[in-house]
Parts: sequence; structure tokens; C-alpha cells
Amino acid sequence: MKSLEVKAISKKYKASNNEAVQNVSLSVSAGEVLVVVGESGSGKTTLLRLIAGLEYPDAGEIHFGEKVFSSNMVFMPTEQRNVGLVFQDYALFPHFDLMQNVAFGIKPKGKERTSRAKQYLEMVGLGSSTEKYPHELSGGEKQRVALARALASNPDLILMDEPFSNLDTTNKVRLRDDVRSLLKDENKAVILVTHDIEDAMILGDRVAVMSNGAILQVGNPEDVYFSPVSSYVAELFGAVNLIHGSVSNGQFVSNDEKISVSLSGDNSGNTLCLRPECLELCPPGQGLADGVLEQSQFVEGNYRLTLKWEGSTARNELTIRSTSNDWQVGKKYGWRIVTNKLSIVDSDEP
Amino acid sequence: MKSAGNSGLTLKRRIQHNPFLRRYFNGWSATSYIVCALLLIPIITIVVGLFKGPGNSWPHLLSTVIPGYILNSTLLVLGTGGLTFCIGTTLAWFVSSYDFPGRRMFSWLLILPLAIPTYIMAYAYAGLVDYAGPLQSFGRSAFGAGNFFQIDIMNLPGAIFVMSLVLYPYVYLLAKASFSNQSASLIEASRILGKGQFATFWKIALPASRPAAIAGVTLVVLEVLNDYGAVYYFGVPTLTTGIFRAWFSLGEVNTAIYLAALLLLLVAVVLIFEKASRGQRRFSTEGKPVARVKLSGASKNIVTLLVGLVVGLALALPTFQIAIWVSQTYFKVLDVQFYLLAFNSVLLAFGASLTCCLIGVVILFAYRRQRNKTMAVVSQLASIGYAIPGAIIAIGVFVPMLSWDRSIRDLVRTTTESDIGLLLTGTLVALVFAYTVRFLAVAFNPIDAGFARIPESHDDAASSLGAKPSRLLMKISLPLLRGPLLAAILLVFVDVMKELPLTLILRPFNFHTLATKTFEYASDELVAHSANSSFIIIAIGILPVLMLDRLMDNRRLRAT
Repeated sequence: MKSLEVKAISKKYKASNNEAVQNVSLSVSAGEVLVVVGESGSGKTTLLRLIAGLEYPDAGEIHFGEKVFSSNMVFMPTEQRNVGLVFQDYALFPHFDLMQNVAFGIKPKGKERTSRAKQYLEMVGLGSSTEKYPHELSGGEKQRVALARALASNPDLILMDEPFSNLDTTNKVRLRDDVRSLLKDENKAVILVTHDIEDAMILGDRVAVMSNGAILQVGNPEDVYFSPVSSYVAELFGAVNLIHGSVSNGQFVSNDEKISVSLSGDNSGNTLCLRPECLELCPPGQGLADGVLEQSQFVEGNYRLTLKWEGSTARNELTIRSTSNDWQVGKKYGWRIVTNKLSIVDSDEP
Repeated sequence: MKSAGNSGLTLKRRIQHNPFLRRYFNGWSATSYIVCALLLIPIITIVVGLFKGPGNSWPHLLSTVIPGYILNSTLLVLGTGGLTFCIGTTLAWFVSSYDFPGRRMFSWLLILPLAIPTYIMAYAYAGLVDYAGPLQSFGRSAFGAGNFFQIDIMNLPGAIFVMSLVLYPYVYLLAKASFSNQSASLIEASRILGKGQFATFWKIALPASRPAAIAGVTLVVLEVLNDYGAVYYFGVPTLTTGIFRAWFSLGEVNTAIYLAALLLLLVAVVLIFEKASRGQRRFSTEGKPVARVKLSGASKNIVTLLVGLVVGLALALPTFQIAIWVSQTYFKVLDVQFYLLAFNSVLLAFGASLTCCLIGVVILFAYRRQRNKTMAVVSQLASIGYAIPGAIIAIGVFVPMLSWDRSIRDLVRTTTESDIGLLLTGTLVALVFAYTVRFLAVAFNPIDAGFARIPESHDDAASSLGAKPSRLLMKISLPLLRGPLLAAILLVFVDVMKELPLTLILRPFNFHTLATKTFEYASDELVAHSANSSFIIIAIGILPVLMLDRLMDNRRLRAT
């Protein structure tokens, strides 16, 4: 089975002189969707462009199966790499109708080209608009055409750069679901770059977290969510309670020695990472420690509770997710850990 | 480290896919390097010529006429630059901040003089103030015999006056665009602080628009230094006329090269001055544009009168004169030969503008695909010709072409004992090449702007879909560049139609364009005859001038 191998690739832009991509290695195999997630300026787009052949790497190698995309000796131009690109701005050719747009990259000519173009337009739900021009479409429709165009050229690898970020929420959610099932059917290797964690969680078979040009962590979305490698990754993926302390003899002890948690397995680091759903409230005195409930907000079918707790956290509070609302704001409660899905990370903060 | 995948590569692939080669030497950039090198031949010729020493008359000329050439050229630059600055910025201020009767009409009528070449304006004014001309005739018939309206215009101040009337629109256009972009708050702040209209213009609006106005003056000055027809007709010896004299009267090409170098030095001084005056400053203000003040009473009349005066002097009077001449001579001039000549002229201009567009597309496409310093320098160097006076380019093309032709001829003569003559010198090829050197920048501007409007993701998408660069260019870039390409063709076309000094030097024997025919008639004391070809040149020239105004308007719309 063919797969993309990126080996220790680096790229520095002369103008800014900071390393856009440094020493990045990753692999994606056919049928797999890898989502590269990071904040703007993290180098994720540059990584994508390096793989596509739109930038020249300073060092490292990129292979796809037997093909060498780039190395010290070789730089294969984009048009020979057989990659499909989907852009944030859709990049549809404005002077072509949808049919011509999708047909542009299809290798066989004549009837086969037209029928294949039609087939892919139908697949993305635009089979009846083949003679429309891009300016007549909504953003979501444009992105569907762009996807059809990329898929129709039968690429080995599909690269998507922030494909949903120009869309409004409703369009985005619908299109994302469609894209997910389309990509599954096509059985291609896919790399999708985004700053949106939800995209990463929903679409990614695996997720790679990028920051300052380096990949911090690769893993399936659940692992990255519950077992982040650093407090940065932990916070990037959603609300998290970070308690500072130290590990010794399989025990985590907070800096103020108010709590201690026994750990399973090997752990090192100075910060305990707890997602809101890993905690629950209990009557005072029965948990790890006690605090005062400050706030209860109804969010996405659950209650987000804010517990004032003078412990080793940055803001002296904990966020806890609860399915019920049997709690009274202003009252004193205990809190405890309900799962084993906790992790210890290294953090710069004390 | 050698990876397994490399071993299967053929040598061809290995070269094609070499990272360094791909980065710096693909077909497009290689073509650009070669074309750029060719376009630089004229300048290199001048520089190399300096090392060969001047002709015999140089010391003599240096002690007699050359100081006068330099003085005249400098005074012409300063005078025209200063006058166009005053006229251009004042008019721009009037049109962009006041409402007065006919403002909209005036705002584009004020641009039209740009369609009149300097030499044609010179002929028209010489005719207007002539003893037999309409001004003096009118004076005599109105006030009886006497020397009413007797003005001698055939001198340096006259040349400054005439050229300023043609060239002020450069300053006007750029200053107008800049005034329109100034935010209302800036101007309103000044008024609230109790400054009057004049003080606001002088202390706030003008300084903020200075970079734009100076850019306009720079274009004016480059045209002034390029001019041959007007100063020759007025008998004002400048460096440009000096080049012609050294070459054709004295037969000393090397002396002409030395004069060309002096002229180039003057151009360099002008460009350096512009750059220095602009510095790192960028006056960009945002916000809604200034609301125009409605004028009334005396001020309304004064402004309308002043604007009308400029339109009258720069547009109405000269076209009136030309129309009179055409009506007097068209039956003598308009014959088959004249039409043939006009057709020649059009064909030549069309050929040159297509060449410019082709080269412009190749170089800018190569630059788009390879955004590195080398290609940036190439695209800059390739468009340098616009700053270089036509006479200099003519020498720079003529000299190397002649020596190349001679060596080819001698080679053929010794090997086959037949005489093929001079292949390129004195042919249309030489002329088109020289036009390309001079006017490539004119084509560059719209094409470059056109490319900038196509998102680079389109190129990336096409490449990823397997399109080679040639297919990308033909199927995606060129169709999307249709408008800009038409603009580029039209702009170069008109510039070539008007071009005089370069054409005079390089045209084939007995070959005429409308411009050279105009010049010839005027030099042969048949200035009335020249009006017919002048008329056509002006009529064609109006097209892109109108387009220029629209482009400026679009830019303003985008800015607001």
C-alpha cells in the first residue's frame, strides 16, 4: 500500500528568518486522514505546500510510495506529484463553468472526461449545476466543486488547506460531514490542515499538533485530547484543569500539598491535566478537596460548573462538567476524579 | 544519503528534477534571463562606448556647445518640472475638493492634452503665434494694423511652456488620485483648527500628496529629456539635439555616445532625486474621502476660469490650430501614399505592442512562478528602458547591430563570396527591438497588475491538477489577463505611434511613420501639411488617455 513519508523536512523563509517548518517527520497511508492542527503561523500551511511541491525544502525528504517528491537530489514539480489540493479560497477558475473546472485535471480526454466530471459533480450534490459559473455559487457549493475537482483527477494524495474556514457554521457542519464520508469512500491518503479543533476531532483518523514549525504530538484524536504531551496541547484541545505539582513514587502531589493522586504507569512532569468531564462534585469532605461553586452554565446539553478552589491552579478555580444541575451556586462542595483518563505533562508555568 | 527511489531515475529526469536547477533555471526564467540580457544591450553599448574614447570633435564641443546643452537641458527640466508641479497640483486640488460648474467634464478634459505629443504641441503653438496665425490675424482685424499679440515662442521659455501644457496631466492625475485618497478627517481637522482653504491645501493636503506629485513630475521630466522634435523646432540646443548633431552632422558616433552618457547621468540624477524625496515615507490615510466644498460667487468664477484657461491653452487652441491647417491642406496631403504610410505606422506599432506584451507575459509569468531575488532584478532591469531617452536607445541599438551585421556579412563574403548586405541594421526588426526596449515597462504595468489580481492559489490548483506551466499559462492565466493585455497593447501602440527620436534614427531608408512624416513636414517649413498626421496621432492617442482616467478612478473606488 502506498503511503506518504515525510522525513525530517525543514524550511526557513529568508525574509522572516524564522523556521517555518523544522525537522518534521510524519507518514500517512492510503485511506487515512491526518489532520494537522495548529494556530496561525505554526507552519502547517508551509508543511502542506512543501508536500505539494509549491515550496522548496531546505532539508529532509518526502516520498510517496516509490516516488521521490523531494530530497537533496530531486525536486519533483507539483504537476507530476499527482496530489489534489483544496484551498481555503476554493481557487475555482472563474472563466470556466463547473464542468470545465472539474474536467481540468482529468487525464483521459473526450467522453470519458466529461462523464467522469459529471459523476464527481453529482457525488458532491451539484450534478444539476454543471453549466453554472463559480460566481453563481455559495461558499459551501464552491468548496464542494473544489473537492470534486481535486478528487476527479484521481490523485494519490489529497491536501486540504483550511477548507472550511471561509464558511458559516451551518454550511461548515454539513459540508464537513459530507467530506468525511466522501473521503472514506475514496480511500485516499489525506492531509487536512486546520486551526479548528472540531475539524480535527471529527475528520482526523490521526491528529498532528503543530506549533512554531514543529510537530508536538501525533495520535488519534482521543489520545491527544486525554493524554496531551504538554500543557500547550492540552489547552489547544479545549477546556482543561492544570494543577501544578510534582511526581514521586507513583504519586502526584500538588505544589501546595493540598492534594495527592496515585498514578498508574510511568509518569513524569510537573502538571496534572484533567478535562472537565474527568471531575465530579460530591458532598464536602468526601472528595480530594473542597471548594465553593461559583457559576453554573448550560452548554451543549451539559452544565459547566466553575468551582472556586484555592489550589495550585492558575486562576484558583476548576472547571467541571456535569450532566445534572443538582448543584447550588454559592454552596461548598468537594471534588474528585472519576476516570483514569488523566495525564501528567510538562508545563513552563511553575 | 541516497534513497532507493532515486536509483531508478534517468539522467534526463535527474536534470529535470534537480532542485537547484528547478529553482533558478526553468524554461521560463531562462528565456527571461536571455531576453533581459538582450534588452540591456543598448545601455551596455553606451557604457562600453565610454571606454573607447570620444570622437575628434569632443574637446572642441566640450569647450563650446556642451555647457550650453547641459544648461538648456537642466533649465528645461527645472522649468517644466516646476511649472507642471504647480499646474498639476493646483488643478488636482480644485477638481477634488471644490464643486464648480462643469467640474466633471473638466476633470477628464484636463487629461486629454496627454494625447498630444510635445512636438505637435510645439508646431501648433508656433503656428498660433505666427504673424499669419490666428492670434495675430485676430489682433490686426480687431485693433487695426500693429503688433498685437506678438509673442516670440521659439525659445527656451517657449519650450518650457509648450511642454508643460502637454505634460502637466501626469502630475494632475497622480495628485488627484492622492488627494482623493486623503481622508476627510485630515482635511476637516485642519479646517476645524481654523485653517482656511488655502492654508489647508498648502500645509496639509499638498505635503501629504507630495510623493504622488513628485512621481508625476518625474514622469514629466523623463519625457522632457526624451523630447527631440519640440526643442529642435524651437531651436533650443539640448543634450538630445546634441546627440543627433554629433552623429548626423559630425558623423561621430563615439561623441554621440559621450553625450548620451551625459544625458543618462541627468536621468540618473532625476531618479535618485525622486527616490530620495520619497524616502521611506508612506502617506497612506484611510477613511472616507473629502466632501467637496460647493463654491459660489467670485471664488466659483475664478476657479472655473482658471481651469477653463488651462483647457483652452492646452487643448482647445492647439486642436483649433490643427483643425485649421487640416482644412487648408488635407486635399494636398491625403493621398494613397499617406494612407499607406498610416497603415505602415499602425502595423509597426501593432507589431511592437504585441512583442512587448509577449515579453511582458513571459517575464512576469516567470517571476510569478519563481519569486526570488534574481527574477525580481530581471523584471526591474527589463523595464529600465522607459527612463532612457529614445535617442540613447537608438544609438545603443544601432552600434552593436551594425557591427554584428558587418561581421556576418564579412563571414558570408569570405565563405561564399556573395554579398548579403546588412541583415538587421535599418530594418523594421531593429526598430521593433528598440521600441521593445523603450516601451516594455508600459506593457509591464497593466500585465503586472493583472497577474496580481489572479490569486496564486489558482496557479497552485492548476499545477496540482497536473497542468504544466505552459497549459497553466494558456488555459488559466491568459484568459484571465485578457483585459490587462488589451490595455497593454493599446498603451504601447499609442506610445509607438507618437515616438519620434528613436524612429528618426533607426527607421529604414525612405520609411516613414506618421510621427516622422509630421516631423519632416514641419522641418521642411510645411507645418500646415504636418497637421494631417498630427490629427491622426492625437485621435488615436486619446483612447488610452481616457482609459488611464478610468483606471485611476477604479483605484480610487477600491481605496474608498
